[in-house]
Amino acid sequence: MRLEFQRLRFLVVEDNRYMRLIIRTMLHGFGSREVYDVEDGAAGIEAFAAFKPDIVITDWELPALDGIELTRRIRNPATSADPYTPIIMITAYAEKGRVLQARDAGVTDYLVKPVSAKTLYERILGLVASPRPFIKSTRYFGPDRRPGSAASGQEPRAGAPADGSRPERGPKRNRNIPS
Amino acid sequence: MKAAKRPGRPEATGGAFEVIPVPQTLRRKALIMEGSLQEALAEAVTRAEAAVDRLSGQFDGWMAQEVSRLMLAHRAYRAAPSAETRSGLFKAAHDLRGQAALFGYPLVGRICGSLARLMGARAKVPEDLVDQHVETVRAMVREGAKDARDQVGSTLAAELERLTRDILTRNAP
Repeated sequence: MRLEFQRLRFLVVEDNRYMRLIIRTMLHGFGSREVYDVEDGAAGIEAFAAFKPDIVITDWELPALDGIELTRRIRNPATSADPYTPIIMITAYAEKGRVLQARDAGVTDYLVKPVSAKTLYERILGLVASPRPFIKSTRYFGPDRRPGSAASGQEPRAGAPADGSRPERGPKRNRNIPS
Repeated sequence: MKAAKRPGRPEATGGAFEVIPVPQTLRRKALIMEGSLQEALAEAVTRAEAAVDRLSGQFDGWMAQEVSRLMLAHRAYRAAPSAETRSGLFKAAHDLRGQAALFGYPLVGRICGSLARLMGARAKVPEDLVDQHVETVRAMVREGAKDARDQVGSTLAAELERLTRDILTRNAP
């Protein structure tokens, strides 16, 4: 089994020029030929609509519109061109609270900088080969976040997948609503 | 505006949410079910790593640029503390937190992570602790302190992280 990267179109939203170049270089190394990059979240929204990427890779801290708000807008089924687009967040934030916040905004996967080429390849392969179903509720629209769903259950560390499977303790929840 | 695509029939759950199966569009588009996955992965990763390696000759220069940005942001913050200058210093530290290890300075990454937490919190922060972070970064880069196992560097990083934790715990709103 292999992934034909030349058939995939990527949108990279990253304000730091060196990180933008590193991510683009990795994607080109994998074989991608269509990599579009922008420097802020507002340009990211426009590029998402115009470029119609297969996969979005976004930072968290961005000018104009941050990665969390970008994710929410892409996930809005009423207004987004494709709310099911896989979104990988690559950020320097390693705190669990941040991972959960990104998960609840609807990111598909979460990686902590610096990211290795191997980890990036594996995460892209995972979301192409085994896409998770989506959950639609009154408060959430995005990839299934429940324990046992793919790409959950791991501690965030540099380059590693996110632990999006255990929400912090809070009030009792309706068992019908996904955590 | 065009309505979003509904790729599959939602499964009726009778509860407060729907499970929507997504189509295997990308899988059909880009996943080829032949050959060894491990070989394909190794080949692609080797190419990507080689490409990044070709950039590595520029890493020292990029690191110098980012540290210079940190210094400027620090100077601006100390000259006129405000939400804006604090945010500028936070962003410079946050970016270095994510990049320093790749550029060969993992301990600088740790120290910038500590500084970013300090500047990103809502708590009031002691200026001398901010200065200590920035001065340590400057010294480490000047000395070319790239070894993550360096005892002095590790001790400094751990101490700054501890001081930051204490301040943030004590001054939490």
